[in-house]
Amino acid sequence: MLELYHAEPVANSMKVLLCLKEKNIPFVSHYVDLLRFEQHKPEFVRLNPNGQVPVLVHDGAIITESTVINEYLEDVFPQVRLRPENPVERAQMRVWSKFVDEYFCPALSMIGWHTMVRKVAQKLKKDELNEVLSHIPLKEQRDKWATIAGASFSEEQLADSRRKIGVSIERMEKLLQKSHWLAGPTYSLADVNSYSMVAGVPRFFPEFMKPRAAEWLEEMNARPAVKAALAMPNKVPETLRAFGD
Amino acid sequence: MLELYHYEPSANSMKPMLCLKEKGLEFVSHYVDLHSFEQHSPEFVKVNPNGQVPALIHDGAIITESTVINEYLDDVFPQVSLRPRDPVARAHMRIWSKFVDEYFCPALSMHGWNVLIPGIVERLKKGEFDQLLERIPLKEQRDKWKTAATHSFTEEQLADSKRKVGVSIERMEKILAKSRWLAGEEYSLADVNTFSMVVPVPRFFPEFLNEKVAPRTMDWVRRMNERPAVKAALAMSRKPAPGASPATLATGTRN
Repeated sequence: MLELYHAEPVANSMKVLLCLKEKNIPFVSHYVDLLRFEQHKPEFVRLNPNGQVPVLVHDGAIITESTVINEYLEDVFPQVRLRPENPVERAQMRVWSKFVDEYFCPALSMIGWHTMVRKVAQKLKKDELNEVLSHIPLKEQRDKWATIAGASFSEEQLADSRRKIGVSIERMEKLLQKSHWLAGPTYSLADVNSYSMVAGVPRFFPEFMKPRAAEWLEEMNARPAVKAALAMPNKVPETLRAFGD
Repeated sequence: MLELYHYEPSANSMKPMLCLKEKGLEFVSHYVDLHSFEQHSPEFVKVNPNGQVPALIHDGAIITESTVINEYLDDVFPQVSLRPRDPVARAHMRIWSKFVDEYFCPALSMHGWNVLIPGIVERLKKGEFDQLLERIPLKEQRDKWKTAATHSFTEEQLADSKRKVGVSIERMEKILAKSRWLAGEEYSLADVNTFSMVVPVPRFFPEFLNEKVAPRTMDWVRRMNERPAVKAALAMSRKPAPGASPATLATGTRN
């Protein structure tokens, strides 16, 4: 049996939801409500000691980290292939996915936390915040919550993250000028892993969007798997959403 | 033809060097002297626009990022397999390698740079460093060079990085309490990718890596050091220093 613990079809949860939809694999969906801090509850921390979504449970084996989960799904369910056959393109898929994880996603995440998650954190009373913090397993995550509940990130940090989003789209544009998809002529996990990062850019940073990146996004939006993944439950209030309906 | 652009058998250069040796693959070695800033030279930036080692060239195709290079080598030369056949163990291999790339390595790297870079920059003539800085393609790397050269990592940053090295060894010790190697019972890229990160730890932070607090990691290091491939990769060091192992040299304990 395949089970996925995930939040809304955005950010890292979306990577795995989209991969499963592309592969047409049935799975049991466990919705984890991040705004109610379910990811830090003991039941969930037993699954992932880091207290983070998404988490895949396959016949009892627990797999974490969205990028790794998608490679796992490819290893175990290769019927619909999302890794290029050509090993050089496959390496390109991994180089790009690594860039998304280490550079693009953290930059977007800081802005998302500052503009959206902050609204949630600031509503918490002091003792409520302390209660929330006391359940967060990772120090880095604890610090992030404490930061947005307080004075938030500095202008300098936010400006640097905005710059990095611009750099990421430029780098993407360069790749898409050379090939149809991000790792070459075939649609791959590089595209799957990038969708939820790029989807919110036209709305929040229209100044960074580029012609090929916009075409790519349009083509992604038309994919049945993208539509199916976006149709998964979304309990986040409209004002806190980055993209989607 | 396989060509590897690399520095000393330490840090990220060591990862594909060790992988190539484990697989018994012949390759043309191109030594890139980081102390002479060769990684930012126009010739090398043509190979890797990010100006970073290592870089692999295989029949004309350029592959960058040490972790990706090692998966590539396993995709193309699977005769000696370094990825577990069991997909769950393979996922553990990737989770651990990702943790090394995103957490362990950057934390260790800050301390390495803090000790090593000022010495390199001091040897330069006035104004030369500014010219060299201009050649660095990535803003993040340029900023890191500037900060390290002027000893400007804050006490808070250094303390946090030190804490993260401790967390990394603790996490490793936990895994090794459950299995012989880092991704299970089979030796894998998880081990290959970690060796050069663990080697300098006792020099920097002996309190994190000793027989008392991390006996399983100490045992893992001993088993790694006995491997012919590790010995062969370490023997590729170009800058043998009296009394210093290649790994300590590259992380800057010799000056």
